[in-house]
Amino acid sequence: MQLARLAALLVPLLALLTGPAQACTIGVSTAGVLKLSNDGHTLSSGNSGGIASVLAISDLDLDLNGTTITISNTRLDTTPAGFAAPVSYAATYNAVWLLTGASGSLVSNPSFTVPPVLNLVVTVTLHNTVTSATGFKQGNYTTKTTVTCS
Amino acid sequence: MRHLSGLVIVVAAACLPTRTAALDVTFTGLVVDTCTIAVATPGVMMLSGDGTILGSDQTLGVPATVTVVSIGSNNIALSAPTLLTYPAGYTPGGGTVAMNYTGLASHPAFSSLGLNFDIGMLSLSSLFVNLKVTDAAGFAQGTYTAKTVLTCS
Repeated sequence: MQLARLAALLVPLLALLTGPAQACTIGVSTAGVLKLSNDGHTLSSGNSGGIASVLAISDLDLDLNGTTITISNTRLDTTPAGFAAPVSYAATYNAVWLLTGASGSLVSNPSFTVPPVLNLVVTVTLHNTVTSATGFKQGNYTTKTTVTCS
Repeated sequence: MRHLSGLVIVVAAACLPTRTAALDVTFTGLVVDTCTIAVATPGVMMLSGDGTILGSDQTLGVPATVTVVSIGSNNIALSAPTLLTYPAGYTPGGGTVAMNYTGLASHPAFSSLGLNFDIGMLSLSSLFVNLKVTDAAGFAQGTYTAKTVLTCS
């Protein structure tokens, strides 16, 4: 009898867990803007006048494993013609969700797991930095960082 | 029956759908040619032993230090040096005013003419500018000021 009740409780849950696949959703609420440092060596959203990119990640997984969010592959996507200076990249993030959060960098801690909580949205504030020992040529630059949730 | 229920749960968990999404987050930036200059240390001119040269290159003299930060391609121009102020007892015109510079660029020979040079991407760097007034008739007692106007564009 107790097993029957338990089964009755579990069936809806199992139906939810095994329902049609729905990917988590990543949306950009604030576009990132890079600014040049005073010494001309770093182009970063963390420099004065720069703007961090703000992401909202929703439709998170409800299973016991939670949702893993990964920050990876920061790269220089577009540069002015003729710019070929060697550069290095960095990205840092600060993520917040219900009552807690996580922070890290591309190098030290590029991913984190959000535990399963109903109605959860994770807000991620992401910074990009490009460093060039020889500075940057005049023109437009674009960097990209891949954010994945699974 | 209990074993069967446990098996159902395990099988259901194993069949959880994969839910993955990826997004390239884009940052944009615009770099424009800019140049920033500042006088970090004003120059000090001292009189030569024979009394005919008043210059920052003389003993105890101090060249002016100008700091420069350049983004992109710029040009630094130094105007022809001039004697700006002098004491009432001194008559200008018999002497010459000249300058040289070293540091981020070098023009060690003194020149009475304006000078300029191109710079590219440059982090905080220093230009050391010497000014000197040469007058075979010597200098009257008092305070003298010489200048060159430095522009970056």
